[in-house]
Amino acid sequence: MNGYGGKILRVNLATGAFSKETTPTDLARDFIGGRGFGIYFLLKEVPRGADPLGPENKIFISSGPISGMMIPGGGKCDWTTKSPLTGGYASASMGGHFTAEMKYAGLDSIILEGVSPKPVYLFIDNDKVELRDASDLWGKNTFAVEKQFKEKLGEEFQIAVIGPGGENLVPYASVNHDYGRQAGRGGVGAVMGSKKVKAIVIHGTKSVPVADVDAYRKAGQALYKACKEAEALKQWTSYGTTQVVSWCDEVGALPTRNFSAGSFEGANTLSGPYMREHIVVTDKGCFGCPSPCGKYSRMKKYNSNVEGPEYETIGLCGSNLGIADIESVAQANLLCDDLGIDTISTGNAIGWAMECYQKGIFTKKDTDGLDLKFGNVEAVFTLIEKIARREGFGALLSQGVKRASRKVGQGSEKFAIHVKGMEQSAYATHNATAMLLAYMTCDVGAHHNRAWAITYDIQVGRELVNPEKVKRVIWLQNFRPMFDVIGGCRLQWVELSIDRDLYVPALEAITGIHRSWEDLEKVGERIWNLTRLYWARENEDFGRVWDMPPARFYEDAPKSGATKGQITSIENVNKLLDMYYEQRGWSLNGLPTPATIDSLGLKAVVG
Amino acid sequence: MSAILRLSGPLRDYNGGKPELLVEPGRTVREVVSSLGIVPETIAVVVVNEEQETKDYVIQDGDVVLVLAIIGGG
Repeated sequence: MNGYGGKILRVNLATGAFSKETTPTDLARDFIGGRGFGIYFLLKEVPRGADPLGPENKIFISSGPISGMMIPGGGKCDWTTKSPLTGGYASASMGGHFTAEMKYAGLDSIILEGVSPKPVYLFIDNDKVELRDASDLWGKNTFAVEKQFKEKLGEEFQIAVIGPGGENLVPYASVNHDYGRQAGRGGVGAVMGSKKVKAIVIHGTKSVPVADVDAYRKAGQALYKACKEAEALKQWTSYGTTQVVSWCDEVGALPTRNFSAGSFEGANTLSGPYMREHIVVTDKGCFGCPSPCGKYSRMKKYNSNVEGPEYETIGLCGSNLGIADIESVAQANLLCDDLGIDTISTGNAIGWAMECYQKGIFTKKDTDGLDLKFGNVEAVFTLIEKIARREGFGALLSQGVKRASRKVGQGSEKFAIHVKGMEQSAYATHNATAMLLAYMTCDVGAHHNRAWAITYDIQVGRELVNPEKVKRVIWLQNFRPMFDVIGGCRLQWVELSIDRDLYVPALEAITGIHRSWEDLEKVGERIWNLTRLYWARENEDFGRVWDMPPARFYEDAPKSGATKGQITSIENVNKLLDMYYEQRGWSLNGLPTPATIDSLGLKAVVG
Repeated sequence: MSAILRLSGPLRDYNGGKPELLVEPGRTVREVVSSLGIVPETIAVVVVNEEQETKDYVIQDGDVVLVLAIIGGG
């Protein structure tokens, strides 16, 4: 099948058996790849009510038709599973080089099922597939394991590995790859740990069939040319995602002291230019990338190096914790990556604890003697380690802010910044109604990548609540995640402003199937509805109440910064949801109606 | 006396689709983009003669000013 590896590898960890199935053409036609494959498999193969950390849950790793191809951004794969953090849909996009090796090994998806009786790693070299003993690797941190594999097998092998966080089933544990890329959110690393899979190592040399080689070359070159000529390329390559730090501070979107404000007095020393000048050593990109956004940094103070920090980590492990020292943020980044826990959820969990400490809900008696004042760098480092190992006070924080705050009570729920149990990524949304709605309705929880609408808020009026804003959010949710379906990176479109229509001939040349962006958005809409139906299937009380934002954003206006005194009213929160459900064709409680399911042709998938 | 204002990607919509225009020196970047109908807060980065500046930079004769918007986000 043109554009595909052609096979799905199924690994039964309980028995050690493997099987390979031909990738169904109708699956590729209807769901294309990546997270499209992921939600299809999740609905079909993981039984209702499965324990996310039990043998019935599965991990689905899927590439897409542009993965591993000479198309800018073709370095992405999707990791779908039932989330141990939220109890709903988890889909984490991972960059780097792993997906290209999957494709060259002839694999469109890898399905991990069951639980291994002992620690193992999955070895794949083209058609050679083995489960190998990983007892000697269990307990080791991610970088050491990746280095060990690279030295043993060579640079051509790509490694995805969990750390102690995943082994200890921290529900926001990540999978680390390429010394700094992650399947970061939703706890994929914990599911891998529950299955006793320490790592996947993969290498392939097969060619990928394409429908029209000449058209493929031409379309690929047009995309690279557009990237190279983009006005924003130099700026983007210099700073990557950190270029937005100062901007977010200016507009009140930079999470500050557990999202109590959106502007931080120390933002200057966290900014992209400051970081570039003081700690960045070089740039680092994923497979086939013409605009490498990764920044490799050297922290002299700690005699260490890390890929990062990205904007998200600066927001959550920097300003959100009252830390203005970029080297310390980079070190926190290093600790999280090495231990295999998500920097976004970790920064949130510690921010929540710091606010509780500030408010007197916690004292040193609760915190293992740690002085949890905002800005206490050493306490943050200690807590990261404790979280990954689920030790002492870290065991509480390792549960995520939703569970931890419910356990603690005393009003601490108000400081738990999450939607659906997933901690909010690094945009404060006190007065940015489209972005707030994007977080409320995101299909994995409070994550920004599906619909990034905060500039739109500023363009049209940030407090405005109207059907056009809602329509914009829905369009973004249908469109942007399609990059995670086709196996590509959205950042060339997002940051370099290249024409998205340039992808259409590339996709057609590779697969032989013409799809306009309108066609692709229709697929995106179908996937979006399926993810919603999955949440509802797994949670009996699922509905509007799950979409409510943290109370902070409708009750607790910032006392400083660009959004001082600004808030979104609860009436407008509900109005946003009413309009959103109506435009989506969902019930007043936020569930796809039978008519919507039927019109999108989803009956066969959901039964 | 003039300077060049370059607009990235979607900002060109505010200039009839054209990537650059001549502007009079003496005004801030903020004032110039506002006069085109662009909300200044949507501008993430201002680069003047290859150096990053703020939106309050006063444009000088001969400057090449690049403004980048954040439309798509991270």
